[in-house]
Amino acid sequence: MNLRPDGPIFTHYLAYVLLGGVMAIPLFVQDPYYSHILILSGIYIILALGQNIVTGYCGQLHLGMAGFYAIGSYTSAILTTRFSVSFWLALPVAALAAAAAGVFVCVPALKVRGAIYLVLVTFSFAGIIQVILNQWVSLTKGPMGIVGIPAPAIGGFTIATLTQWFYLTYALVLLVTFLTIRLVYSRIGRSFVALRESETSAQSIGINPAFYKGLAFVISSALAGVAGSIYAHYMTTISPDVYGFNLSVLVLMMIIIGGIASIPGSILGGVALAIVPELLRALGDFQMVAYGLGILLACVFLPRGLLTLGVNAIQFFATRLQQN
Amino acid sequence: MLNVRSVTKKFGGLVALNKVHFQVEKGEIRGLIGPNGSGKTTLFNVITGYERATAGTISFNGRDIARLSPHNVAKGGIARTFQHIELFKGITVLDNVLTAAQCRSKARLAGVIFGLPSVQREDARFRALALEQLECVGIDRYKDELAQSLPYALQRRVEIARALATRPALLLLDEPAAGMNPSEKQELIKLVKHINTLGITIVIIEHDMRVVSGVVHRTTVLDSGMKICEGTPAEVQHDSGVIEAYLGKGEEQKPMLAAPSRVTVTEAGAGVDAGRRAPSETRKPVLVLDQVNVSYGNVRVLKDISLSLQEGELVALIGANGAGKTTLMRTICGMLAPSSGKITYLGEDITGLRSDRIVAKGLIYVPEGRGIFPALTVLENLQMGAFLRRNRVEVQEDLDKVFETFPQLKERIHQPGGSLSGGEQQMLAIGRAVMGRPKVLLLDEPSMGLSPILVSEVLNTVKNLHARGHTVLLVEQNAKAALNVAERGCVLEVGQLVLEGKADSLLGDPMVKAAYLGG
Repeated sequence: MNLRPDGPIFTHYLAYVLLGGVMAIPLFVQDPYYSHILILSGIYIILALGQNIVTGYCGQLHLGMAGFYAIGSYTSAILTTRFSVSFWLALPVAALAAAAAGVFVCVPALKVRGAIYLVLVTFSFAGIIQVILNQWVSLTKGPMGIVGIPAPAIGGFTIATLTQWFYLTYALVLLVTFLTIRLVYSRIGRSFVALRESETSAQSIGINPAFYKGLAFVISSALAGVAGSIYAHYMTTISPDVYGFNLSVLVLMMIIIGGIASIPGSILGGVALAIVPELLRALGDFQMVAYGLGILLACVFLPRGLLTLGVNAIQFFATRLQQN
Repeated sequence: MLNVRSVTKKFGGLVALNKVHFQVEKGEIRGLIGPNGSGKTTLFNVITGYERATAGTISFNGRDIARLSPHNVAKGGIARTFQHIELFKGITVLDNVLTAAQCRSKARLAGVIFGLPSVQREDARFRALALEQLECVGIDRYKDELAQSLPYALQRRVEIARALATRPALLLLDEPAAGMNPSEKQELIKLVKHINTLGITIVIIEHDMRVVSGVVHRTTVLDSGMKICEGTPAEVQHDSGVIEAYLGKGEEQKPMLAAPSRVTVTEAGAGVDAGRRAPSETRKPVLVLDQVNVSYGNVRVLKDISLSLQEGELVALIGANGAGKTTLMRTICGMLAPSSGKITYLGEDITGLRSDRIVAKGLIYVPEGRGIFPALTVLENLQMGAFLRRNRVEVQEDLDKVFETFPQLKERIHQPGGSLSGGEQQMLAIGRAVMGRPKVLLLDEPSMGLSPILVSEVLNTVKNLHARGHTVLLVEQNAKAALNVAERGCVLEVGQLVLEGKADSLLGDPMVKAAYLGG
């Protein structure tokens, strides 16, 4: 049996098993604090999936997810608060706006070959976006942020409770996961991987590097836009300080901790990086120290992320079964 | 079909191709030969769009392709392989080929994401096409292995399958036989002929004249970026210009042999015969392997290997690709840990010791593919070899000795390593190893990818090193050449030592002859 962590078995089944597991939690625990953390996890999962498409599958180091996340949040917030647009229209428009920003960034960035340039361009882009959020007060309300972002409504029914938010978020997470799996196991996903593994050979079999790298970049931007939109409506209040460099690093850490080029890995990483800082809160002043140490240890001992644990466990039981 | 007219390619001041005319007719198999650095690969790169010609025109089936990007050249029907294997290493063999099969896919993003039936049908067709190519090159049973886990010769086949999956009209093969032993080369010849019968025109860069004569209809010879000759293999082999530039003097009677028997012993090598005569029992063993086993995961790659190397001895290790030769080398020098068994070096147990510690003890490995530092100069490369040594005077002495052994390197002392020709790079790699004052040298395929002249030059070097008292374990695909310089030979088959003996007797052994010397 092909139990490779990037193989279809893991990607399809493990991803849905993990999501199912997370979605079952509210059946047992109804603490609003846990619900909040899990909703945040769902948003992180979408971000991690986006980061994994461009970094894990296509091999492009992208360090500016916060910028596209911000564009998604603000597009959705402005449309719904100023123009009374429904959430269901604002969400796709937020994704499109982030994707358009992605096109704008990647066209010049991908002309230069070499990972370091893309890091710099994406990093600077996210920085510029944060400056704009702070300075363009007439549009973004500056550091004060936008308040009173309305909750989505389905028919006459408004999403109000945390449990409802939880299921709305995870319905979208499921949809995004499903589409991402479709994408990475398609000819387009294979082209991404080919570019990651050897650009020279990819060209020799007819893959246009600029086009497919750009496509990966734009798709990941769109996913960040979706996550941003959900976040804005869930929080009802957004302000520029959320969308800083730390967030971009956090998203990158999610796929490193969870598993590079892996859908279940993105899910694990998103959940882990939402939960772990909360668990460490008890440590008070040492919270960030323990957090940093944990990430360091994970990088050293789990080269393929948390997924390594899952793979090892399943392979262990699979060999046991075969022996019996 | 392919019409390259008066193409010039300059890299700065260096003229890599000089007004080359190169026409290939539909259906033919064309050979492209020439010394290392003569511009063969550059010609491929210019045709496939990886390099842009400085001047001249290139047309394919009447269409100008000189300005196309590589991916458009591929879509236009020209596929290629690479001299240094360029696989998608981290994915399976099937996925490698499948990615190529979708070369002219009509599916678009929306269709892919929503899984339209037309896209699914297309996908099924690509999968079938990919499997067909894997069968065609004979590696379908490895389809679920990671590409990087396959032995060298099979990786070459994956590359060919991948190129075929783009359904090319013209296939450019860049040294497909490099690193293969004679029987594998015979297989390759069959494969190339088979591909040709499918209606695919082929251009093949190759150093081994036996392969060239076995497979091509006509051959073009390049030297220093100029076409010096074109004709049937037989005509080319008797052309005095070709012999001078490429095959080496005194080669004209039997050009297919790499001339190991004619390796001349230079004055430095005078001690060789003395060494050969000395009965090995009187010498003390420097390196002893006792029942060494190595596994990758569940696969046992080396089974109970017991081998001993006497002081000052030159032992050739031969065997097919995938037999475990490189694994054995890497195990000895500490880059892989044996699962059981013991490795003793100068009476000391070095099993499981870290590789840098082993290097410090004077056991030095020169990997296949040379592994020099391309951005560092020749001098810096050599100095890196003395990284662990502190005595500057000795290092300087050794540096002088290396330059004495390899005068070419001295001429290029301040050139970056990457700018050297293949043969010079190999000498640099060996020179760098010597700078570490090795007591034992492990050489992994030093003659790979070299023109016939350089093969004898490099093996000559190995012989000289041996004559200077170095103990050498030599892995070679060119078994005949290796056994001709070695004292003793060992044959490795599927991870086991199956035969061991005097080099001369192995050369006469009918089994060895059939399997490794090419009959």
